[in-house]
Amino acid sequence: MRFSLAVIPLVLFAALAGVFLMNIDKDSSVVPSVLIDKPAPEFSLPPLPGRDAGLSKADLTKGEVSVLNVFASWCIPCRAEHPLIKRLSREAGVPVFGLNYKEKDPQDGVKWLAELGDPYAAVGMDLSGRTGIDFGVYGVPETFIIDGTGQIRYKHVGPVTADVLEKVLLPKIAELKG
Amino acid sequence: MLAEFGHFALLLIVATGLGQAVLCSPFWLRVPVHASLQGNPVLLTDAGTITTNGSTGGLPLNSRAHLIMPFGILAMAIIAQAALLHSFIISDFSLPIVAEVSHSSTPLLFRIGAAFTPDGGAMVLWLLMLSLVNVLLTLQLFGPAKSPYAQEDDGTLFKNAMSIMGLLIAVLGVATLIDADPFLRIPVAPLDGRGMNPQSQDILRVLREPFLYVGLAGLAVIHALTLSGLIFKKFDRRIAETLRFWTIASWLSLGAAIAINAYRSYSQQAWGNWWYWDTAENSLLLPWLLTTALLHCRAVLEKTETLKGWTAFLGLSALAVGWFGVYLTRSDLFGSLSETLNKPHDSVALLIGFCVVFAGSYYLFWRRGEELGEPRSFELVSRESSMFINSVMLALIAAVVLIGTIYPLVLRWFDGENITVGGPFYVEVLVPVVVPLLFLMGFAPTLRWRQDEMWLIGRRMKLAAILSVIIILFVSIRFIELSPAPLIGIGLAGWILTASLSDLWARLWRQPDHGESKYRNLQLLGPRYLSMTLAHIGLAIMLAGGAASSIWEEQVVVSARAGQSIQAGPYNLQYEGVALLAGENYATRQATFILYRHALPVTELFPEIRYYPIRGVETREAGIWHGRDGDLHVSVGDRADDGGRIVSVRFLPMMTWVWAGMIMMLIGGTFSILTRIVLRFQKNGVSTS
Repeated sequence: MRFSLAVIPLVLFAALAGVFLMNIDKDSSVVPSVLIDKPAPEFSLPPLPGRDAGLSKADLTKGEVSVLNVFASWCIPCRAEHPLIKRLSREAGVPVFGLNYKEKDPQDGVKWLAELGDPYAAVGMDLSGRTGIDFGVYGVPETFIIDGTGQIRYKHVGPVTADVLEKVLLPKIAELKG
Repeated sequence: MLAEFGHFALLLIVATGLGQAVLCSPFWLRVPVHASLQGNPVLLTDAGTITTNGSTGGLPLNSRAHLIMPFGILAMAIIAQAALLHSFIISDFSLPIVAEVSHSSTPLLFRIGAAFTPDGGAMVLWLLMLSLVNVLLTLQLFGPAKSPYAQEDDGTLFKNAMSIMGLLIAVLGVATLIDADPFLRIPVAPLDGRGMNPQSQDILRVLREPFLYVGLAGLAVIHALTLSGLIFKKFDRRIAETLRFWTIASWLSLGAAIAINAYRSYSQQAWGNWWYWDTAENSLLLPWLLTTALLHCRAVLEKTETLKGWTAFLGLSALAVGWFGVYLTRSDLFGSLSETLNKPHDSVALLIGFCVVFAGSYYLFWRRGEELGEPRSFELVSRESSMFINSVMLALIAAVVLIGTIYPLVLRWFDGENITVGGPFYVEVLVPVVVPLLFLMGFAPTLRWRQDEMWLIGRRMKLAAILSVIIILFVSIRFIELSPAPLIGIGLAGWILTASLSDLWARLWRQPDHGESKYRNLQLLGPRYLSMTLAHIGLAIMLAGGAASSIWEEQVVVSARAGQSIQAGPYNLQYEGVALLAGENYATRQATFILYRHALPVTELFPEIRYYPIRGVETREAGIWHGRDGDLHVSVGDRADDGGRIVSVRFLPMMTWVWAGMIMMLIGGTFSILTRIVLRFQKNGVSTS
């Protein structure tokens, strides 16, 4: 009798621990953003000065996986991640769109791309920061992976590093491409 | 650069913790434990070698070398904490932890406070508190005012407890390094941080953290001592006596954390109520409930050496639920609880550490639990059984709270369904347990040890019973439309209050022995009884306040214009308008109200809506006046359609009692601890002189 009583805590503990250990992964893919697996917000942005095509929701819903990178010329980490965005656009085999976020002067973005190189399939200019807010941007740079139907599938906050590129973004894109 | 020192110190904490675990453990040093388990005396020669019936082994246990380890750990923990604080103070954004929860515009006080809010920072604080109690434990056991029991069996049992403490520190240190290393740097530092969560930018919220983690650290000591007692099958009076300080200390600091948290919720308009049953609150409540249960069982163990198994179970489980609660709030399983916006992963190492530590603990409990032995028994009607029933009920309450907390999560995992368990669930399920518990609380302190008689109890409680019936009748006749639940609350509060006071009265006025004055009765009560009575009366007052304020609460929501006056209870509030002011890192719309009571001005209240531009978040601070017949709680909202300002005024009669009751309970605990410390040193002074 006593034997069986003393074992109760162990059994209960094992059950509880088992449930939580089993589910470690379930919620850990979490949700850096409330927008994950939700459609990207509607937007239509003008092009950079001197370019033809801006960026709108339609560009993201062409049935092809795409990447949206939020950058700004005043943002130093963006400068740091830029070579990796170029690499991403070379290696991923999907269009990488740019969202030029809250520039003081529209020309700043143009100069910045001229200096560092332009990996983007198209760039939209978000001077007011309105589209950024709709996307839940709270710090530049941020990088979104969007599937062919316009659903946001992944969001990376902060500069993309080589590690993030190789271990997270590229596999995620490959997985979505199927 | 200092952060790297902190990082290194963190690594050294793990190493030194392991060192303490090894050096203090008789198992690692191959001391003939089995010999001492079988009751053979372990003899100690002057040279420091151990002789146990001829067999020798291991390192000299009386060597004091291992006693240095706790101090080393404490020094490292202070360095780590200082390095982290320094990084926050100078806003070193190359540490992601700083960049995530701080900003260059955050005021200094809250830059320091922000250091405790993210996972890594909280872990460092927990480690600091653990190393602090580790040193205190060492001093208690082996210091100048050491426990008289520590010398028995060469203190093997207590050294083993220190070994377990070392192990716990090492496990939590590793969990910190793996889950949420606060000292990692990123190659490119952002220009500025994302700012502190405005909800946390509050002095009370910052103050809560040290109390919470001191409490949890105290629970770790309780766990270590209990486990050590189980290992050596000596869960007896001397463990109970050593546990006394730690139980009360943990109970006190967890209680303080709960009280602070409750007041914080109350003064924030977004929440308004003082208890909300959310995960963060429940994970404070859970260890407190089990510590309360332990508080009572420990006394029984010390007095009569019964209830060994149950006390040991509570001793282990208090830390278990505390740790688990930290994991629950930390791991973001419920969404928006966590302080950090972007989490790379859950606190997996914290969970795995939890599983390993407690699988081991409960396994030992199973293997050793039935061997503890109960030398004496007690009758059904006795102080022991009342304490046992009381602690079982407290454990039941804890179980309900635990289930209510994790049930939504488990359901989501298995069904994908999202539900929330709120106040109504807890009230419905807990009332049948809480009501008998509170009833028991009234007369349990008057019960005799070992055996008591029902008719004697009846005689002792006669006065209290009559008085509380009168209170119930008075309240129910005066306020006929009363719903039963708060009435029961008030009745029980009256019962506890009158029972405690009549017991105190009886003890004070009983006939003293020959030749002694009545003043002797006061001395005979002793600090334990007084602090217990104080805490019980505090609970009764809190209960009465909570019940009364929920019944008689008056709430007025109006769209007010400047100059308008609003009536609530005996108070009259005159709205003077809203001014836009600048806070240190926020802008605030501060409303001014002049509070009149029966047409006499009492004070001015300034509820605010603060806007924190860094995170773009609004918070609301209520204006509160604690009057003698209740709280006046006023908060402002947005502009109404008609151009007025939405003002919510609540008059909560007797709400002051809730806070006063909480403070009384805390004073009771503090009194108990202080007298304990004073007595310990006095006793020691006598014995050495």
